[in-house]
Amino acid sequence: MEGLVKVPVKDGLFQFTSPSPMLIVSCCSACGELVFPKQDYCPECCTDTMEEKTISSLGKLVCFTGITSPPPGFKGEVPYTVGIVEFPEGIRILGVMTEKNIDRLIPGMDIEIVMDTAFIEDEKEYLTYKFKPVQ
Amino acid sequence: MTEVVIAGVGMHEFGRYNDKDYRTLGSVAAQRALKDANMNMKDVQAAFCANVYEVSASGHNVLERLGLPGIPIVNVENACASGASAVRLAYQAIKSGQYDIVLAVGFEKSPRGFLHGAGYDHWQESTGLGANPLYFALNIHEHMVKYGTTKEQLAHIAYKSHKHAVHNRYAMFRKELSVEEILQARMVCDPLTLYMLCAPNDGGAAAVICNKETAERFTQNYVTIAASVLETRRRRDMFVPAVSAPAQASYPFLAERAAQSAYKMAGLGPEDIDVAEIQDVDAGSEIIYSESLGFCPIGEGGPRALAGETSLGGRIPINVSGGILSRGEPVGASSLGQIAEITWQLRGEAGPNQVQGAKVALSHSEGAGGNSCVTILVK
Ligand SMILES: [Zn+2]
Repeated sequence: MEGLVKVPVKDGLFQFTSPSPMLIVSCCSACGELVFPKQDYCPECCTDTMEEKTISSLGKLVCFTGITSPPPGFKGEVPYTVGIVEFPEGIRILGVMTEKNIDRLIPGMDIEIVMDTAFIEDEKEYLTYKFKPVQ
Repeated sequence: MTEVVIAGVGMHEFGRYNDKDYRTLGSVAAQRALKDANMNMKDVQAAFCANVYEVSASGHNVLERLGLPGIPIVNVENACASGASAVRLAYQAIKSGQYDIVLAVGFEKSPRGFLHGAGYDHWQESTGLGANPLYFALNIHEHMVKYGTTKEQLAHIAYKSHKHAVHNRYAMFRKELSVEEILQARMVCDPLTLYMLCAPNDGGAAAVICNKETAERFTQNYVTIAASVLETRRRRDMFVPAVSAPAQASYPFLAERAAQSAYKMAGLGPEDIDVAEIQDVDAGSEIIYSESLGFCPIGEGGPRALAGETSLGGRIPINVSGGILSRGEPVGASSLGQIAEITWQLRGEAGPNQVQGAKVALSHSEGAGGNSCVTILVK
């Protein structure tokens, strides 16, 4: 993807320019609830007590699935895999994985957050966060 | 205390009807329910109309075919729980004493293929996270990892559904499938194959809700609504379209909470239920919800189903109509279809799929947005 402008699929989801990729989450200053993507109101307290934080730690793969037919609105390539990763901060996050199929995925394996191509459109490379098994 | 009853139910067969529009699907179901209650549109004092994909005022367009008595008509959209939500509104309208006879009707002519618009943000769809079956697959995969639920148990759920549906004229798929055929079908979202997922389709279903005294003027063949509950998602319920959830939480999941509320409202427990129609939008969901609704301990849904406990003749027959896996899911009509099925069970009119002596029945629908409806009927 040399020469293409890199843009995030959505602003405010992650930091992709820093050396270690980070997800942007909200943490409630009153009860500690963590939410991704970030939002203003705490789903538990129902007050605007959320503060922005980042997550860059290793997580554990809880479960995963493989998809072979493109769902509606999908602009990337099939096949691909999706998983839920649990991070030590106390949050589970859904994300696309770097693996094309589920053959090498194992529940409980260590996962790191990476930035990768989601799709190319209008000569721009759209980036998203992905979950990558730690080798 | 007002006793709220269902005086009549009716369905338009669930399937694919290129030659019929939603008006026909809905009005046929409504007409059948009214006829079942020995009533016509002139007897109805208010109507709640469930639909997801049509344009505005669709319920008005359905009911005008049966007469124009000028009554209040309200359209209800609540994803897979739309129909049961309409029943709940009708139940409350009767319970409050505002009306004596209320019609609840659901209808849908589904778009083909994967369903759009379940509340996903644009980035979720474009990156590949915006698909409902993906959530079903992840939920049951976690269950497999945690409790040892197997692909064979999932295949058995689909096998059971299709076996029962052979006798149901309202179901779309009425052909028995072998466990091998189900396992070897195209993999849609691992571990769910094509036959382990429901298909969106077309159909209608309706119920006439009354107070008992009024119903008795028209029919003796009514059943009582003992509970009608609607609850929604909390943070722990990582359901369409959620992207995150807390890793640890002490409160129960959505279907467990809705079931607990319904049992409390009815003064009954899961052990009292003789037959149930639950949201088998995929084979994994039937296993998970059979546990959430209290029909077996958490983690045992798969082995119990495989042992026949949830088949016709078993301890707690689940989805003996063929469920959503075989009926298909016309979203706005689906949960009213479940309520029609359990009404027939309590009236002893379920034909070859009759659960002998059924006196208490439960229906459960759950869907996008995080809606859960539990309805309990008693004879
Ligand atoms: Zn809070």
